[in-house]
Amino acid sequence: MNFVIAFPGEAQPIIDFYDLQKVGKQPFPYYQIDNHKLVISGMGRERTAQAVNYLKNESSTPNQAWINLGIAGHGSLEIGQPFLAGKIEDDLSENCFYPPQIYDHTFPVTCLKTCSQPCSFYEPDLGYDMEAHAFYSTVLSVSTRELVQVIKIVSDNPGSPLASFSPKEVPRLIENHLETIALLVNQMEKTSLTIQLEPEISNTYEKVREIHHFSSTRSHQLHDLIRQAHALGLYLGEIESIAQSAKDGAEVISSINLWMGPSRQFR
Amino acid sequence: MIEIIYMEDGVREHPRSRQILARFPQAKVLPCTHYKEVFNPSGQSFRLQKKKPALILARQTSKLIHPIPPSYGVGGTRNFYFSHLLNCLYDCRYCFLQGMYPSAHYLMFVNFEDFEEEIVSASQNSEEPSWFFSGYDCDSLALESVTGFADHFLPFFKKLDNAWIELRTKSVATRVLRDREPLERAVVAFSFTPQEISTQLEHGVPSVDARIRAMLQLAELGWKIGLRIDPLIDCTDFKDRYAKLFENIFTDLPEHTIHSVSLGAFRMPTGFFKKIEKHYPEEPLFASDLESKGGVIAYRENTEKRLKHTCFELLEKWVSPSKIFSCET
Repeated sequence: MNFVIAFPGEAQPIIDFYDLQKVGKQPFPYYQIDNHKLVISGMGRERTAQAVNYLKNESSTPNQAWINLGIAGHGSLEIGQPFLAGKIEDDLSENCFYPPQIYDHTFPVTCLKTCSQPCSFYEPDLGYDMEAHAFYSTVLSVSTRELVQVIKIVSDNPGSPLASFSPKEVPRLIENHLETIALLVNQMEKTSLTIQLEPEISNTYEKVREIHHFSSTRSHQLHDLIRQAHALGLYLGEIESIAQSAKDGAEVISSINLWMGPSRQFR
Repeated sequence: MIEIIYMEDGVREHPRSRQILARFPQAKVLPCTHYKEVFNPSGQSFRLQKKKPALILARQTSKLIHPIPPSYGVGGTRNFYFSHLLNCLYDCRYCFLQGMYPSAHYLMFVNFEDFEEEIVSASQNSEEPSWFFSGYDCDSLALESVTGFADHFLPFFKKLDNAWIELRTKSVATRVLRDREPLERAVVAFSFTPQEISTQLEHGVPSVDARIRAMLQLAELGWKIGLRIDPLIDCTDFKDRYAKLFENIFTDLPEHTIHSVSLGAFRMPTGFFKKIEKHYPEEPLFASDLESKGGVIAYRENTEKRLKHTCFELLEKWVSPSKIFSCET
């Protein structure tokens, strides 16, 4: 999971919950343990986009899970109520995002508007923040939309406007919902794994390419064949043996094809 | 069940939208200006959305009925399809919809009346009967409880003397048909693969036996039945599996109730296939012995001929050859 969070007060409960370790200070405070990463972006669109790009560069694996977490204003929900953004608008852009809602959770789903300035006017059924739109638009180049979600916890509403909100309350607002947030995190991570290519396929591919030279076209053919062999339940170690016996890349391709032929019929 | 409904601003007050919202009082409604904002963006995963598709309510403003190429196999000389709904309740791994659409959300067009206008106009353009196929981009009946499609369109088609409708389905939700008099110019077409194939590839689809029971009920009530043995999947024990399937289908189905039987081997536009293969790299079907020819991925010619020939021979035991049609690749 990649967390992108604007302020230290919002991040600390997550850092504590997952026991994240600080691994960098510049250009953004960066925490990590195993596959959980967290970056503290600072306020606003620009810093958020930069922080997302920074975190993107920390891993080359596509389709990881991403969450933007933080506090937000809301026109209808109670203070302390967490919600998921089902639609993300922006006061500077016509472009909206609709994060697909495929997970089981208890959060209300509502619209969220990213604003350039803190907002003291509240429309019903609409949340207000300063980061989500930039977060979403920047993450999309490396992850499918289902794996990018925005969770906000209401800090101010028409009955208790932003001016009366104390930042000291932020950690408590987040802490109250760590268990439910963790349930969503867990689902998103599992979902991410379902669309990652089996490492065995890449490993075999790399090993065979170390044995022979393959043109660009044949490299694609080789990768497809290894993937298909895996789909058919064949032992991929046999492909390495075939490669070792073959005289060149062309023969590797034709020999794998011959070997796979009888197994291709659907069962 | 539907948890999220995206609704175009322009259909918020449409009576059909209101009916649907009333059926899902717990659903969260999220407004959008145009369905394409939700449905069309790149970077969506059809596979992941299939876990929990949302419903999009929208108005179809572009072309509403489309001509069907002659290779479709069944119908008449003037064949059209129309789609009140894009995407399907079921999750069949061989289905081209997985490669055609960027999203797995159910996109329903609520402006049935506009479809009707075009259907009337097309059917009046010729003295030849026109055929309208409704199960091209969705299952015609599976989401009836949401869309009310058949309940609306069957009375409409009943009034047209020059138009046929085919409802194509894998659903057993046939009450909407059982509760009314059979239409003279309607075919209820059930798609089948052998149960062993269905179990592996047709996720969420009722069992073959359940569908046969639903089909027999309708036949008994006087509905004309179509059989769509499509796609044929080249598999181990092919002949035995399809022989058993046909025996189960035809043993109790009176020949006079059979309108048509069509056969089509597994095939798909190459671009769609590539996309689907990326979504499901672990799927053995996509590692079958297929070839790409003329923009279509399909079995090799000899294999396709063998599959069809075997099925023709098996079918001749049960149904007149004049009712058997081949869908070409």
